[in-house]
Amino acid sequence: MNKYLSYPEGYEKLCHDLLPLPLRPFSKMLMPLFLKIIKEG
Amino acid sequence: MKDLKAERIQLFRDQANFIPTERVPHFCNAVTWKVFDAHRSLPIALTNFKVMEDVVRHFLDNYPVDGLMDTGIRNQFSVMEAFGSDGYYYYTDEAVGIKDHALCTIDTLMDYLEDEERYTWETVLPAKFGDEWNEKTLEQWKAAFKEYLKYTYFIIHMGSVTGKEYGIPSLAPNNPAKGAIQFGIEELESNLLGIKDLSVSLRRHKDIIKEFCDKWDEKHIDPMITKALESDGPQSEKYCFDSSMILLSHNILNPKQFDMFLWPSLQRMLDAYAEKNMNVRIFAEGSILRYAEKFNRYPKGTITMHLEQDDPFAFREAAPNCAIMGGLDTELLANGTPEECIARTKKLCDELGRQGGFILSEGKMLSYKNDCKADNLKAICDFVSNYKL
Repeated sequence: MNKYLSYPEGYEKLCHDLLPLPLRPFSKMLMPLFLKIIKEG
Repeated sequence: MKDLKAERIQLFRDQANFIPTERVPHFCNAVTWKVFDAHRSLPIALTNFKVMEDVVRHFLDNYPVDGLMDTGIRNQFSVMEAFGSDGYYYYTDEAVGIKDHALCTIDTLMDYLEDEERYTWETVLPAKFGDEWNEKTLEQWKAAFKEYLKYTYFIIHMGSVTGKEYGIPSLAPNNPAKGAIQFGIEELESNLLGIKDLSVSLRRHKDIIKEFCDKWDEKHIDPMITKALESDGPQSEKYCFDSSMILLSHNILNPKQFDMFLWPSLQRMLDAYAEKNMNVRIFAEGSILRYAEKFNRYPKGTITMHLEQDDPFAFREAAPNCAIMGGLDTELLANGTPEECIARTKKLCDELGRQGGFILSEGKMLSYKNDCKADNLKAICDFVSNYKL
């Protein structure tokens, strides 16, 4: 089972694992746009 | 360049407010045509930021426009490619396209609205990527995210290149990063149901569409209306317009449907801009002439209608309070002579621009190789930048 598939736990874990430490405070700004590209792109 | 940028913003602002100017400004609607004109390959330019930057520089070195709709930033392909999957957008050697797609069904629209992030994660993405979805690794996510950060940096970088080195001003403050204006009915057409399913649902499931549009607009449009009303008004020093929006759905809506699904929220948004003396540029894809009188209710200086296919002279007659952006069609740009292009530009400037209320632009986005001849665009740029009104 892919550990990132569940919501919100898996998604939050992905955000944590994906963003380098200096960018984590900007997660709420960076992730929605990233997700939008993955979703609509 | 700072002075040139300020001068151009003032030109756009004055024309939008029906204040006569010394000359008519040109906001060029060149998109991927720039790539062909620079003799570069579309697949390479769309996936290599350095090549795309060279393309934009080549364009601005050769065509002295006052504004540029696309600064090379319509290329998110590297994100999807790093993710290892095909997306809805695609490119060939000749063009960029998008497949008609539906992220929801009519039965699941309200589930989406309830929690967009959850629905995206649990339903949309698994459906979009199929079996691949379960197998995405952290490395793939990281590779895609890295390309996304590079893309974000490129947007900022190109804003700096075009602004600081070429004196090209920013169009408007709102963009996907800061909150694009997307009405519910537009979101249904472009993403959630697609053109085909929306067209069917408008007849069969009118009540659901109405409920969705009202709730979507309450969630996404109302905050933007509040933001406009609480703002300090026009941002005349930084942007050509105070807001920019794109309308497409009016092409598939009959007047009754237009009044039901789009106009209520659009009207409230326009009311807010009018109250604050702000100017909004509306890119009306297809034809919006049949709804011209609705927009004419607003005072001069509120709306600048960027016409894609409508005749600007007919629109001026139907909505004299709206400034017009446009006037150059690809038929002329592609098949006419430089002399014919200059004659058309002169007529537009003389008849629509002398009293203010006109910004020269290409109606359709210049996308394909044969959308325009280079000599024609050069002749127009030379003429309009020197022609005194």
